[in-house]
Amino acid sequence: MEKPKFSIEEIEKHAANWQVPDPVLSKSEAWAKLQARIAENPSSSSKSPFYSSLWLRIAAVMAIIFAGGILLLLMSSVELDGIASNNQAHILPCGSEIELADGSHISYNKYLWPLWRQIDFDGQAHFSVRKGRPFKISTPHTTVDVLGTTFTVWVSGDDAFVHCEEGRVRLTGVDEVVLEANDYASLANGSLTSKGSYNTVGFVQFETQGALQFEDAPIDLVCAALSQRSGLTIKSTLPNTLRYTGTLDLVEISTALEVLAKPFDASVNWVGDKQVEIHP
Amino acid sequence: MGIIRKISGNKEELTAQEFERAFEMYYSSIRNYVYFKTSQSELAEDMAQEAFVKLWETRHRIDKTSIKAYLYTIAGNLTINQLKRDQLKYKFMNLQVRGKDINNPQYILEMQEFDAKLQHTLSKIPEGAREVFLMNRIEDLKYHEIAERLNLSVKAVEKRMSRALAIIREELQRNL
Repeated sequence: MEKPKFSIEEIEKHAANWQVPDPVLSKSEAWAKLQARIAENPSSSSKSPFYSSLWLRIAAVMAIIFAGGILLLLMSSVELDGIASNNQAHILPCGSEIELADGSHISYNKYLWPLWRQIDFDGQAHFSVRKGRPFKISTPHTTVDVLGTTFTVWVSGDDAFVHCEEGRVRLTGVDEVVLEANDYASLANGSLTSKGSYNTVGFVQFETQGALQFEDAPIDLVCAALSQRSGLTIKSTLPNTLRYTGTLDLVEISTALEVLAKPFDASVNWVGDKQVEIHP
Repeated sequence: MGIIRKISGNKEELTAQEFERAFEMYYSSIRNYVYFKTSQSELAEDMAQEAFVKLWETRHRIDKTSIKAYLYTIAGNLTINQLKRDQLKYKFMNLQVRGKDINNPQYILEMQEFDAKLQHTLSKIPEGAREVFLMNRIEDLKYHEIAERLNLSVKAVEKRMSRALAIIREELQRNL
């Protein structure tokens, strides 16, 4: 029997017959579970009895101050490193989440955390910050003040790249920049080098199997990511309006740079062993 | 004055009834969307639940006109990097075999092989293009509807769809 030939139309028709596997919970069970979760979480309900009582609220504040006084005496720093093939999020004491890329590092004081949410950071991470006290991320040249919720930070030596997905983020170095949702900014030695907007999220994936994968990513972000992973200083004079889509294998960084430069008809110039410039 | 009233009206707190209506309207689509991203059915349910919890938590400052896109954004953020692409393994149920030759075992076997290869091919498609393809084919959403949900332009959706189809065609030509 002759093998069937499949046109795009047939492929599309075939896929239209697919159905997502049945859920474990029916819709009504899912709704019941959701209601139960919301009822369990006092912070999600404005009618929580805890918050409706002024006396309890004052008691809670006093307890926090008392506990804070004791905890101030207990200086202890938590150190966390991103580990290859482990994309589990780190949950901070306030419930905020940090997803660290391989080779990245954060440290913070868990005892002071209720009063002072500050992190020393190097590498790449995706942050989802819960509302609460000011949240700061210190990098060598730039401080990131979180005024909103979700964003990604890359730090490589003197360079930093921040993409804000939700809410607002303020960057303070030599220049001060406020990013609204979808904005990104590149900084070198704390000075703003470029700023733009990108209307979706997750356009760069963490390293998988020695490769970085980009989708429609600003060229500055690509260079920042490659710098961070390779230990090289990679500078680009290409316009940051250019976007790159593709996978760059980091096993051979010189080949990765050539692959990156080719679609833009750009040239790669090595300045010594540790610095690379990409020119139009 | 009218404009001020209109803007502030959109920012009014989401009521319990409106929240329930949003759940009724979007829960399944959000779950499917996460499944398209991850190929993990249970994870898709968990993330869909989580997206609605976050919607409820932010009900005071949500713009009611953008609930749909907001839910998709939250779900997308929550599932970011949950799985590496090579771990994707879709298990879509196939609702029907093509009408002709339904009693021909050889044909059915070939169709099953084709179905398996097509599902496997999905893991080769970049996430953005894959979810657009599946939302269009399985959710039966028009390009402008996908664009609205994912906060993209229609042109970007068209581009992603073309990319998905090009990869599928190339992969199937290579493997069939």
